[in-house]
Parts: sequence; C-alpha cells; structure tokens
Amino acid sequence: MDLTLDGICKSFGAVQALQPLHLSVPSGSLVGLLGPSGCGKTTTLRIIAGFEQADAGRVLVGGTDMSNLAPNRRRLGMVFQNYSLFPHMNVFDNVAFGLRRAGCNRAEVASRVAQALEMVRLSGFAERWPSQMSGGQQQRVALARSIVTRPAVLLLDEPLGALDKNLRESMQFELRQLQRLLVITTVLVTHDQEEALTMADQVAVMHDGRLLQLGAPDAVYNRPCSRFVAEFLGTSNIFRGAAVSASGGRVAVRLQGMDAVVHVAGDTAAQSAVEIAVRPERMVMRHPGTISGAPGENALSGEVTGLVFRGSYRAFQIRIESTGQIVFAYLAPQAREGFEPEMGQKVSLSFTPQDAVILGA
Amino acid sequence: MRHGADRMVDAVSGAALLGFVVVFVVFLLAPILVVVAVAFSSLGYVAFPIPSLSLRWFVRVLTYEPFLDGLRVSAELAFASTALAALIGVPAALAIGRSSRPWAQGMAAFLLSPVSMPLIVLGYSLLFYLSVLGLGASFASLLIAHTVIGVPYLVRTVTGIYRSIPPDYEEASAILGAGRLASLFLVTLPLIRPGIFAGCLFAFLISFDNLPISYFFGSADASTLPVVMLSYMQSQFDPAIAAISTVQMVLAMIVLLVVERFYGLRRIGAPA
Repeated sequence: MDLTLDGICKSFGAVQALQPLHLSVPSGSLVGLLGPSGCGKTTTLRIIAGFEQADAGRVLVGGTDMSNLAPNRRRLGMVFQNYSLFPHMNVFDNVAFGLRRAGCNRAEVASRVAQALEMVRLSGFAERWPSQMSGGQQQRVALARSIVTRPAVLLLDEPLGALDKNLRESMQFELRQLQRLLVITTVLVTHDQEEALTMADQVAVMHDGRLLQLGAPDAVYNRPCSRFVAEFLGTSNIFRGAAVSASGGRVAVRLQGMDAVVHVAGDTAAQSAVEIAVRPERMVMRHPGTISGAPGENALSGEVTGLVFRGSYRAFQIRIESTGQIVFAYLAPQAREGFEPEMGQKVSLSFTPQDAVILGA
Repeated sequence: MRHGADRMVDAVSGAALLGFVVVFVVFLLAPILVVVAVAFSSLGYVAFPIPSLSLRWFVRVLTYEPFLDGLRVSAELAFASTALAALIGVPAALAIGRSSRPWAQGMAAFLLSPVSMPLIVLGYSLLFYLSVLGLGASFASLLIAHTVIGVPYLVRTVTGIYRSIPPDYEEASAILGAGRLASLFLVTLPLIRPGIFAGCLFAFLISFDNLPISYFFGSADASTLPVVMLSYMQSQFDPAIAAISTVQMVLAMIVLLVVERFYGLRRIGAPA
C-alpha cells in the first residue's frame, strides 16, 4: 500500500524537529530518509510508527488516515537499530509474536514462522535464543519478525548500523531483494549515504527538519540541488563564482579569484553569484599545459599536495594555484591514462560542463 | 613508575580485602556461630563454650506457643506485605521509570522516603494514625506498616532495571500489534522480573526480622516473632532464644536458597 505524509510537523519544546513534510511513497517502493543526526528523519519514522504524535498533518496508508491510531493498530512492521529481539523468547516466539497478537491459530503461526525464517535463511534456528546469535543473525530474525505479519508498510530504523562493513554490504542487497520479492512499501532511515543510495528507489535528503531533495539515487547524487546535498552525499568540490552569461543550456561562470571561466550545464540568471559542484571522480587530470583552456575545457591548474591509494582508485589532493583552494580528484587507473603525478608536481585539472552542477542558494 | 604504582594499589586493595574478611569473621560471623552453638547447649542458661550437645531447646521452642504463633504471624506478614508492596511498587516504578515529567523524580524520592525515616518514628506515628482510623494494634495495622517499609525496595529495584531497558522492546511489541496490557504482561514484566525478584527478596527479609515497627503493633493475637523474642528475653535468658534465632536464620537462608535455585542471586540487581 502507498504511504503519504501530508504536511506532518513536530516540535519538541522550542526546537522545530520537523518542518511540515510532504512525502509520497508509492506502493511497493523503498524510500530512504537520509541525513545527519538531528535532521528529523527519526522523528518522521516515529510519527509514521505512531510513537510520536505529529503537531499537525496526517499519515495516510493506502489512503486511510492513521494519525490517530495507536501503534499496535497501524499494521506496520519495524526493524530497530539494535534489533530489539525479545531476550526472554526464542527465535520462534519472537517471530510468532505478531502473528499470535493477530489471533492466528497454531498451525498458521507454525507455517508462517517457518516460511519467514526460510526467507531470511534461518531455517533450523527456531529454538535458538537471541543471545546465542551473531549480530547479523539477530538482524535477520528481526527482519523475519517484521515481515511475517505482512505489514502495510515496513519501517527500517538504521537497520544495518550495528553490523560490520562487509556484512552490512551483503545485507543491503539481501534486504533489498527481499523487499522487492515481497513488494512491500518501505521507509528506510539511515545516516549512511551508501546504504541509502544502494537500497532506495527514492532518496530523501533531510537537514534541520527539512526535506532538501527527493529523487532517484543517481539523480540526487549527480544533480544535487544544494551545497548540503552535494557535500553530504559523497564528496564534492565546490567552486564559488559569478555567472557571466547563460545561453543554450550552458552557463559561463567566472570562478572567484581565478581568471578561469568555466562552462556548466544548466540555467541561471546572468550576473548572479553561484556555487558549482564537481564530483572528485569526474575530474580529469593531465600534464600541465596539455589542456588548452578553450571554452568548455574548464581548465584549472594546481599542484599535488596529497595522494592516497584507496584500492580501486587514487585520491589526489590538489591545491589550485591562484586561490589556494583544495580540490579532490579520485582517479581510477584507466582515468589516469598512465599519468602518475607525484607530490609537489604541477598538474592541469578539468571537467566537462555536464559533470558540473549549479547549486541552489 | 607506573608498574610500581599499580603494584602498590594491588597491595593496598589486597590488604583492605583481608581486613574486611577479618572484621567480617570476627564481628559478624563469629557471634552468629556462637548463637548457633548455644542453641544446641544442654545447659539451662546461656554459656559458651557449651558442655555437651542437646536438642532440648529446639524442643522447647517447638512446644512454646508464643514462638510458634510469632513465627506464623511473621511469615504470613512477610508474604502478605511483600505481595502488597509489589502490587503498589511495581506499577509505580513503571510509571516513574519512563516518565519525563518533572514530578516523576519528586515522586520517586517520595516513594523512597520511608527508607530514610527512622523506623521508630515511623512506627510511632503510624500507631497514632492507625489508632485514629480504628485499626490500632492488629494484623491489619502490621500489614499496612510493613507494606509501607517494603514499597521503597520494590520501587528502587524495579525503577533501576526498568530504566536500564531501552524502550525499543515495548515499541517493538506495540508495532507487532500488542496493546498496552499485552505488552505489559508479555514483554515488560518478563524483562523487569530480576528487579521484581530482588525487590521482593529485600522487602521479605526486611519484614521478616523487623522489630521497631512491629513492636508498636504487637497485640495478644498478632505479634511477630522478633517482638515475641524480645519480650521472652526480657523475662528469661535461656538457650531457647538462641534456638529460635537459629530457626529464624535457617528460614531466611531457605528463602535465599529458593530464590537462588529458581532465579540465581547473581542475576539479581543486574539486568538480564
């Protein structure tokens, strides 16, 4: 069923934790609420769950207003950050909890619990106790417990936050597969950008109680609307400047403190102050002088002040000659084309107009 | 340097532990052992060491009506007041434990206040108060008074453990469709059980050997064992008092052992 948040807002005392938020999650899709702590994502989730009462606005599931229902009447599933498996119940009883509350008979409880445990690949663990299981296994039990009741909406509160990195990555795929298989409308809360980008159909970036940008992961990553989004989602090189002219879907921007005029895909009023963002992996790095500086070449010159091997790519830290600004370039071996500058070496940097984004104010 | 300091700390704490053990043995264990020994004395008066072993004072205790009545009253009282204190203390602790309201802290302090009040004062004022209410010296008064001193122990232990349990469990229970009452019985109470056990154990033992409160409410048909023992000692001083003390200790130890057997004392006080 689809989930709609219709202008929900919440303040705690004088703190406005959540500005009026409108969000629609289509049936069966997964939306990731992403943001730093205190951005309002957890408050949003708790309002959907019914643990917090919104000051105004409505929570609609399948068109039905849930705002005044107690949490136990909302037919939701939820996975908590620390799993919150009942420590005094074994795996079977944990998973069966919701079914028994719903009044299922013994046979149905037994078969649906078995089915759910099979889905999370924990068949044969029914008699185990939560304390005897690893974090990853507990996470699977928590997942089984939340989906076994076939909830209208599944809420995931930093579900993988307590797992180590490798496990987290494989669980991201597994969770996503299961969610697709069951076609279950899901809200994921996370502060981990990678998790949101990997798992979500739609990423909602939040900051200071506001929804800043909503869109498909690649759209939000490649076309961030604001400096905050550009910097929170991955790393961005931000340049300040002034738009000197705009035509044909291209804006010429004179960068602050530099002679360089760069061309950026987009549209903005000429003469306005702008910020542009370029991803480090979109940077091109060459021998100095080999980039002409012709219109559209967007050439900058600088000096390598740091370089780090990061496995699949090298991270270069480059100080721009004229302004001293530090710029990052992440370059995979094939992108370096045999050019391996060392510390202190002068280099030319460039980026295509399509790889730069004009940020909103 | 660091090593030397560490070794010194080890040495000092080792000496402190030894000192504690010595003091414990000399001033607590030894007198109790003497009492137990005297209970088996064949003499007609209290003297130590005892000349020969005899069970005559246990026979005397078991045939002396006031002791048996006192024991019965004490046991009934300890059970009943503990149950009442749990019925009052556990819900109060649950309300206080999760409340963010400013009065919750005040209420917690208020419910713990009987602990800081001298029991003599509490007994004295309760006697007046309950007499005005027409209860006077009776089992009902004893029950009320013992419940009053038992509640703080339950509130303290249950609040402590309840606060140590993240609210996630109850939220998980609610999301899974459990109403308030179902969550209480299926999730909250099982999780706080160690705290309830510990509180009940304290309340029971405190009630079982309470003298200063019971002293005010002793009546012909309802006097607790400690009160009976005190009045017995005031009139005669024979090994019967040692024998009944031994019986009382054994009963308290049985309670501890039963709790240990069914729950494990080590788990009490620490969340599961």
